[in-house]
Amino acid sequence: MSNNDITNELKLQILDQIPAPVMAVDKNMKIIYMNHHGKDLLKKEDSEIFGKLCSGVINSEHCNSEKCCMVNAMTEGKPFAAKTVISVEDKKIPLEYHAVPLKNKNGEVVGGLEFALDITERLLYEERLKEQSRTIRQMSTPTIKLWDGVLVLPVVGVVDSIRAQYMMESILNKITETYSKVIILDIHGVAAVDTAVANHLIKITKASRLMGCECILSGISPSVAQTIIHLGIDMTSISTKATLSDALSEAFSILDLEVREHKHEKSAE
Amino acid sequence: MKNLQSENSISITETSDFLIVTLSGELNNMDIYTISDMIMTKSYKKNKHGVIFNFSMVTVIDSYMFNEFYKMTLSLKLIGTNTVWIGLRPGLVSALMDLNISYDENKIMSAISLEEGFEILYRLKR
Repeated sequence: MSNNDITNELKLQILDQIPAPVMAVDKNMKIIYMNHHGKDLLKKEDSEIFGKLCSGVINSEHCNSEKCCMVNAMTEGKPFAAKTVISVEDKKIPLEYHAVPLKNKNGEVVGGLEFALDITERLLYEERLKEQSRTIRQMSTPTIKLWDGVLVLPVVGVVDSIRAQYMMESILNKITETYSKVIILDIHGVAAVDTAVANHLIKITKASRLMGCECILSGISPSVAQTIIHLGIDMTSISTKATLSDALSEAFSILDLEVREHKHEKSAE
Repeated sequence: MKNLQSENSISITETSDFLIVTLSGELNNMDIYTISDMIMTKSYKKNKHGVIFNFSMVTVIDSYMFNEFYKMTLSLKLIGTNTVWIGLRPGLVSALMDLNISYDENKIMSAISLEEGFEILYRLKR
């Protein structure tokens, strides 16, 4: 008997020592258990917690709504998880919580058990990550003025629809800014060209042509050329070149410019 | 001349060889027929070699409107008049691309500035 007591006591202590709030409720959503961390987090006394409705104690955004995982877990009989925000003394704490149905020996649902994790740090981290990807996106679409009336956009990495949209915006704005006549899209750094990427490139070409700016696609490697043909993509509407220098000389001919070697003739004495 | 639904929606400037049509931001579908008529007859009667559509004041365009201008360009070509589109805004162009409109790229000539547009028309006149 005394042995049993110790194990029970230990069991409760184990939960109290977890650095995450744990809570159990009965079928009427009245709190029947909460560990130390939970009480610390809510900054409430035992008398304010036990036997009270959990929505009144926790004050989370999900309380009394369809999103409440505890209710879902109890009605469906399986675990649920979600993110929410609770307010403790005017402070908002973001939490990720998991709810499981509490069952008796016969397997009937008699209540719910819930544990939560403080995700303040993680949210900050995610925010920073978003900020970084925004910076990378801005860095990844540099439209460079190569010559008077000639722009170059080196495309490196993966072209997805969001990036293609961003590229298009950047190009079109730059064209209006600089009154350029030719834009060279260098896709040397694009690892793979599939139908989606090709379509994005065709769209960009069409758009820049509507603005009165000729678009040349350069940096097409043999393997990329083969892929395009295998996929059956019609790229005949775009002028394509193997290297950037080929594209530049094409641009010069569009602009009626000529590059000549300057001959130093030795004056005969 | 017929009345336009919304006033100040276009202005047509004549030079010795060309017509410059400046379109304003608010065009409605009824105007477009009137405008189309006006430009066609003017260019035909006065024997102009080219028409310039200036879109620089236009902020919104839908696929219908685009198609009308496209058709106007094609019909002007039939009476031997070249048409150049100038001053399409970046936002407008990317919106048009999102609409997935289909047109023959070689049939629309566009330029970034009026000067550029004139150059194209002079080159074609020669």
